[in-house]
Amino acid sequence: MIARSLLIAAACGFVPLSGLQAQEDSAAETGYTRTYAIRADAAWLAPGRVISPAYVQISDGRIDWVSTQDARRESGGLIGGGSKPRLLEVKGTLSAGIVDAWTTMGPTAFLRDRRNDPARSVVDDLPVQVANADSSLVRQVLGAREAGVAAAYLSGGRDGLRRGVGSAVEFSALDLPLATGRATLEFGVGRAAADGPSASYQAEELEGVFREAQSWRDSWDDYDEKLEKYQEDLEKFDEKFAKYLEEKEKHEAESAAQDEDKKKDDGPKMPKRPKRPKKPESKASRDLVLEALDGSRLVRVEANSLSDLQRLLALQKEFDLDMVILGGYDADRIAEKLAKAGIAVILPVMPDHHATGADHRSLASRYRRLHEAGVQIALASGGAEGAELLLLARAGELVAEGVDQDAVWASLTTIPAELLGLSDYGRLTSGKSATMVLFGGSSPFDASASFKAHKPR
Amino acid sequence: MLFSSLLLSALAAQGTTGTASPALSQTAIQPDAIVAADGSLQEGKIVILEDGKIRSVTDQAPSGVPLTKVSGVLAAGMIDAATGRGADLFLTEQSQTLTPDLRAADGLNLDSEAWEAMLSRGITSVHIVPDPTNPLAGQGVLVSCGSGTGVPQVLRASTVQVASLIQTAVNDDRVGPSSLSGAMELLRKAFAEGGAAELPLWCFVENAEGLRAVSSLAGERPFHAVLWGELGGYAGAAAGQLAILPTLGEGELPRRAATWRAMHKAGVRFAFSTRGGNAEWNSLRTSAMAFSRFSGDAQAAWQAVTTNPAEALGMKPSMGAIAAGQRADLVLWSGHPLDATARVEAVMIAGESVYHAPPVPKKP
Repeated sequence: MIARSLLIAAACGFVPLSGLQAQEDSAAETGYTRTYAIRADAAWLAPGRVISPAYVQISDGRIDWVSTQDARRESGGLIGGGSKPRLLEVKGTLSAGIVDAWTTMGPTAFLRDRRNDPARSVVDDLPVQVANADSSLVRQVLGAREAGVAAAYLSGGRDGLRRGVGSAVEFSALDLPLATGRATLEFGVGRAAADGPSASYQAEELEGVFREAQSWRDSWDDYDEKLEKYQEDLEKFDEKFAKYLEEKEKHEAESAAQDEDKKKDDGPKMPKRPKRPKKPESKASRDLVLEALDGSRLVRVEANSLSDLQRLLALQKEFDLDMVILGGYDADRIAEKLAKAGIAVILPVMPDHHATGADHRSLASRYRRLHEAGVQIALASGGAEGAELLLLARAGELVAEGVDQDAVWASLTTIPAELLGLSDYGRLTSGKSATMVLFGGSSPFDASASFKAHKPR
Repeated sequence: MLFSSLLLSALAAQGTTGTASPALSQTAIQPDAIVAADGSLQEGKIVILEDGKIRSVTDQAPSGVPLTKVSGVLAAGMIDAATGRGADLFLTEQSQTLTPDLRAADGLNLDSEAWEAMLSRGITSVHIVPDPTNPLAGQGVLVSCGSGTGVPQVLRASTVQVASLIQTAVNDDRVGPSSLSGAMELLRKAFAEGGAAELPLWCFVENAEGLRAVSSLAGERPFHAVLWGELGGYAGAAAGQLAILPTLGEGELPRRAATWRAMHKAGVRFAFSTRGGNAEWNSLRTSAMAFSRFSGDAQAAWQAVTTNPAEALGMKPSMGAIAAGQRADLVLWSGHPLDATARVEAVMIAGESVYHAPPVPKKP
């Protein structure tokens, strides 16, 4: 309907054709095409911002507007004769869908591939059409949707030091994941990177990866200098060579005029041509690291121990990396330093096995410490399959243990959306995704009340 | 004292309006709401306690009974249908194949920190059962997690005869039978010869074949199955039954969600147990919350940790709900117990205060 309205409006000269094209591209990509409105008892627009009642109009899977009043207008513009978008009345509170910044979801072929190529990207294995869709992946998407997840991060790998390239995804009308968000590069150190009993990568090795890339980049400076010198040498060579040819000609002439027995054997010597310096060899995996060094890729590192986290802090400072930490069991111990460095932490909500006995600290206590220090925290399902089904229950337990509910909700929506570069997610405002949740009770954490995920039409 | 200082001192009591009391042995509590047996919240109810039991649930306080108003939601304490918590690490005797007279009650550890941990999660009773490592494993014990004296109390020393057809029992290299039919032969003989205690039968099974095989053994005695392993195949065999299910662990959550849904649809009623399930202290409640979300049936979820385990133990008339005649095993929550943001504020067992929650840390 919106496309038709826009076509009519465009014909009347009110909508630039480029805008129309953009709308159609967006709808074609996600597959959401309908325009309709929802009236709910209330809406959480963003953490701490609630309106009641709430009217939300949706077109092509995006929110047109949110209001406390019914602001629907007849379509058709100047030509007239249109009708208002359909209004669905529902009981409960609407809110933005969850953004799960760390999952075990992924294409089957990608997850089974054990080559561990650090340059591989999860995006290459995402299905592009339903006919060839990966049924396991689609089931995972459906499970995530059911849990209220609107967008998620598909990891580039689960083990080892270098984990390839993951991607944030949103979900299409046909429940296929569509790559979106900012570019990333993934690593793991310490026990998180244990690749079998013989290989547990250390933060030093991660430093080595960045140092090697930096050193390779520096080698380009050497190459440039050598190339400059080569050019100079080449010019000199040309001069010498011209001179040589002259001398050679002269020498040959003199030799021809002389008696056979007086001929000189030693003519002018040909100058040596300078060698072109060798260009530094390029490597796809290193190129990715260089992009991270340039700040165009977010560096995601799974790490838990204090020593590893301290090394990561130093690494981030040395190379001025845009970094986020996954796991971060001991992150609360250096919370102020992380906050100062602007390093966010993605905490898994499932039980942590990185500490036992006296070292055990609850998720709530670690969250509180990080939050007090001003660290950006995202709560995610983490490394357990299907854990998104318990995401709200676990997150709600933090509230029960005294953590501010708005902060917890931000850790499930606005903060992970920001970390993943998903500007269309995390809030219920104009232009954002209409993949929402509708909950009964006082909050989405209340399992005694109804809970439904809203998939746009 | 029945009502004790529980609600008066620690639960932000907002006013006690006692008058001249003709019923000194009675006490009335008026929380913001109570959780009814169907899991719904009912506001304005007054719970009258007497001699450690709930005398009635009314809308008006009887004249002369001291009334205490409290902030929060009052719910029946949760019951763990089968667990090993609160007992020795091993509740088994592996030198024999059949240990029908092994009593979990003999392996109780009343000094364990588990009791306080369970109370703090709103669990007031646990059914401790032997490890299901012998085809006839022994007898369970029902324990109240606390008492007015501070010590857990045995409510029933021999509850059920525990049998097991799970793999570790039927394929034991040392002494056990090596197949389902072999295990069944042993069990049949034991039952025919009176070798199994005359108690309700609970059998740990891990597939529909085991469930069908052992169902015939129970005869006239009450029977319940503890469903382990892959649950997908049980729905038909367990349809309409009240089954004991391990609490939700970390693995295979999507599959578990699907099978719980299928079983719920097939009419299977759940009673959650931590034996064989997630060992976290909060796993009973977490499983109920997850089940509520998976099934959309909060009533079934709440009953899975209250009335259903009570029913499976033959204790439904006396525990598992806020209703007249029930033990006053009550938990005051800050909200609905299936709301993850709710916390346990205080616990009373048989009308005695047994647990007060520490203050909530200040919100950052």
